[in-house]
Amino acid sequence: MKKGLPAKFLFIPGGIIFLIIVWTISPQFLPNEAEYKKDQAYLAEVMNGKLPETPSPEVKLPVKGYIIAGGAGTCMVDAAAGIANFYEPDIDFDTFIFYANPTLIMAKRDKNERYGPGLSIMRAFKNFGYIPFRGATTPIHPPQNIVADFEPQNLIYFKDVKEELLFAKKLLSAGIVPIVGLQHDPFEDIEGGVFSSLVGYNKDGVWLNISPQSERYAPGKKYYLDEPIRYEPRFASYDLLMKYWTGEHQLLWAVKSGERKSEAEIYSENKKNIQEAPVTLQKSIEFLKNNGNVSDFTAASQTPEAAVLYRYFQAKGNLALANQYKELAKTYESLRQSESPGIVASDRQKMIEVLTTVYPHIFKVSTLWP
Amino acid sequence: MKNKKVAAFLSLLFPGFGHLYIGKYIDAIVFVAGAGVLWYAFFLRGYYLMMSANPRYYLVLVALIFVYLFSIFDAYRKTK
Repeated sequence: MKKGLPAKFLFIPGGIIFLIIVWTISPQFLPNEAEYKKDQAYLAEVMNGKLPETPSPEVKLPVKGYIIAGGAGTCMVDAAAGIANFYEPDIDFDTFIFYANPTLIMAKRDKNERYGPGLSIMRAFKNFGYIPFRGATTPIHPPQNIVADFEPQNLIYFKDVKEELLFAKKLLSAGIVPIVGLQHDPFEDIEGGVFSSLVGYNKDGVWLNISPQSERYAPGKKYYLDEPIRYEPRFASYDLLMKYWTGEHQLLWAVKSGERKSEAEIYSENKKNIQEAPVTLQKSIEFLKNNGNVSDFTAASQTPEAAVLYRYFQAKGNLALANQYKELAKTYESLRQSESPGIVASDRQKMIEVLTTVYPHIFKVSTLWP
Repeated sequence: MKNKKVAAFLSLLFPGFGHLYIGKYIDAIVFVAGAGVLWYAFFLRGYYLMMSANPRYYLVLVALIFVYLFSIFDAYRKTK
């Protein structure tokens, strides 16, 4: 008897598997002309009249970033809040956080919802009356549940980074400040990627607002309760920008399109979310304990939310609730580590510990919102 | 008598299929399982790793290429 299976029994299933794999992965590695033309035509239509044909020779917008002293993992929030404050000066850091779902804890109640903290900077922009966009040099966009606050048509494909940088310059020339996703801080030797607002350029390079992560920028400040401080942008050569703006060259921006939601409306949403939080938090803990897929969990730095709500309720005179948020912020701070998303994959137990420890605080505050 | 080129081609379609063809079932299980785990990592977590610029994304890609090439070479070599 011959050893092995006949080739004809293996060609068909092998061929099917091979074709499925090729069909699935090829968009990641091959340019997609049709997708590019569609996205660029849509972009031209939606940005019609808002951008100059040719960008200015140089631009430097007076955008200041925020830094949460001693913080890490809050670069996107720091950058976005600084941009919102530039657009509308009455939006300070606390207001921005308040509009960004600070009390939401998701539990995959629909296909676009993941598990875990639901703070979203793009949700904040939407609540302020803006439409968020995401550009990248790949036609493959993140799964919808990762970019849940972007309409699918607002995920834009740029053919290459030169085209995308030219577009970013046009945005700046029109007073629109984008955020870039860098794979490394260009100014400090700190591991991990960072989001930065791109606030200007000239012939030699760009100005970036990257939340400095060194303690030396805010000596004596306590992370968990002190208000963030402002800082000036720093200059990076084009070589430095291109060295770290790699991968799919993420570019995020938001365009004003409507009215801001009222504070009362946002308060109602936040109250609803916190009242649901004990249940959704428990589901998130169970999800992690059952080794749920890390890409379905959001790891966010919760201390700013707790500190913001402490200040909010203190200003309102609700000292009982303010003190509960103060304790929550202190608890998060005592457990805090660098919470970039990649760390969840290797530190699932840490996140379970954090969420389990704060659960009693979340339960308590959920009963106290007036 | 098995054909070396057929064995190599089957391994190109999916690692381990060439070994099934030549009757090396233990090798086949190892290659199929290895490639399966790497494709799982690539599809289910790969985009997330790529988006967060995690170097593990590139490690998975390199490992996949290695498994495919090794399977093709091994199936070709072991065919008699």
